Amino acid sequence: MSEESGSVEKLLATLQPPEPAPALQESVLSGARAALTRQAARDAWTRVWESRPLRLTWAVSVVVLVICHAGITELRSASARAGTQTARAVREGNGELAAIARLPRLDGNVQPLVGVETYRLVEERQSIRPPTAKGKESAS
Amino acid sequence: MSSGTGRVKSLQVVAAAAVIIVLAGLLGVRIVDWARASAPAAKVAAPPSATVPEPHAFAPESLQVPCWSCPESKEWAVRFRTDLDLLAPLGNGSANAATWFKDFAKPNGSRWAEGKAAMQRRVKGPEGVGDVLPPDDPLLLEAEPWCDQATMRFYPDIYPMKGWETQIPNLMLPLNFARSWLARGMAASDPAKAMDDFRRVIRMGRLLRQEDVTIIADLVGLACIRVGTQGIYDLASKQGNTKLALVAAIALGEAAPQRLMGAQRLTETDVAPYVRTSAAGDVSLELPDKKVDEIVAVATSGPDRRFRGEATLELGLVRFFATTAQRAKALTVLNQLAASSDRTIRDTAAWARDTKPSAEVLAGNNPLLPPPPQPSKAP
Repeated sequence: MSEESGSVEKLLATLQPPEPAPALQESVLSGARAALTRQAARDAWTRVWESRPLRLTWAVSVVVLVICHAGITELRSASARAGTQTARAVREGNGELAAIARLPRLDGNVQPLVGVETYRLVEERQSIRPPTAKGKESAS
Repeated sequence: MSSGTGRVKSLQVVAAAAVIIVLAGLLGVRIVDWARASAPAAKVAAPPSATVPEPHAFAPESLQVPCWSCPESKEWAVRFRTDLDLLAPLGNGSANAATWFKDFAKPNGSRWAEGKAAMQRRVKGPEGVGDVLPPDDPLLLEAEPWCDQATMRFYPDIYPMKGWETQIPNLMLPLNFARSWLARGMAASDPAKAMDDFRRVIRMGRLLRQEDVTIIADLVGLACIRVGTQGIYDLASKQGNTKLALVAAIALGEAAPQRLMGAQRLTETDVAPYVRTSAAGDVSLELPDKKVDEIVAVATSGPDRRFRGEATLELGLVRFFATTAQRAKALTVLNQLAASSDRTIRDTAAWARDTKPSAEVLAGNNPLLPPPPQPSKAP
């Protein structure tokens, strides 16, 4: 029995795996450390997206373009505002044209100045007019 | 997981790039569009060749002197009663002369700067004529074939009808052309050439009056006809051509009455004397119903389209500032006019119906008449 147990122990002793190389642990751990600290490989999109100069360029471009749009809008509206000469504007405009275009304000009841018809109309009017309303009618 | 993140990143980058591309592309389109609109346009091709017929023959005894101060004149259109074909018939060109004149509109016409530069080239003309372009000025010569056209129409295809804000052509240009041709004719040694120039002046005026949409263009046209007719009268008298001098004299005698009749027609429909401003600053119209009826009558059945247009705009003021009943009446008439077959009347009525004028517009509503003599304030 004791002989048997001694042989088993001997047998088991022969089956014990060999010790790992002493430097293995250190090399594995240092490799793992290196892997942890190494940045993950980045694809092109990520590099572009995260590039600070590109982001700055994009922002400046957007600002410049928006300013240009505002400028062209102002130019267009300025030309539209200045784009209409109206009859109203002529009054404050060129004196020569205004002199032709302005008309006197005329009383619509002014009588014709010639002919027998004038006297007939005047008499007719005076006959139906109340006494207090007598007076000269003329262009206002 | 990582491929999903990469996909998101790529979409973000594409979106950011798209923002730039869209903004830049849109800006490019807008700049090109603006540059096209503001760049000097290519000169309109010369108009189709045209001929100008000789003045119609007439018998002196057939001429009549219109009585513009007689009662029947109240029904007349404010037009020459004398047939101007006896003095200067229009040419038969098929182009619309307005397509050339529109380019000189102040200040947005594509050739506005050229027109302005031409004004700087003016020299002193004969006594009483004022400053004129030199007889061989390139713009003056370029304008000549356009006066041989049969029509000149600006509205509503070139300039849309916008009520008080309706654009007018640069009327200084035809006015100065007319004076320049007059001066050239006065200086001409060849009577035939002089007569051609005087007749061209009348044709310019007739074209300006032809459309009958704005009063101001009509008045400038009338002024052109008057000076051209004066030129013909002076030359005919000098030549002993009494027949021609007679018809010119009759036409000349019609010019001033037309201005006065025009002033009277404009005064009849002007509501400015009826504007009342309360102490609180509220503006209203205190119009007699009879006045509203007069305005309606002119707007619906006046013999002149330009005065119909003015009356229609006055109805727009009635529609917003008069009494409730008068407003309703004005609205009914404006709706009726807005269904007119005449596009300028239709557009004017629609504008007057739909555009509420400011109090400032109401206070100074008619730019062609001076302010009423006694503006009053309601307590």
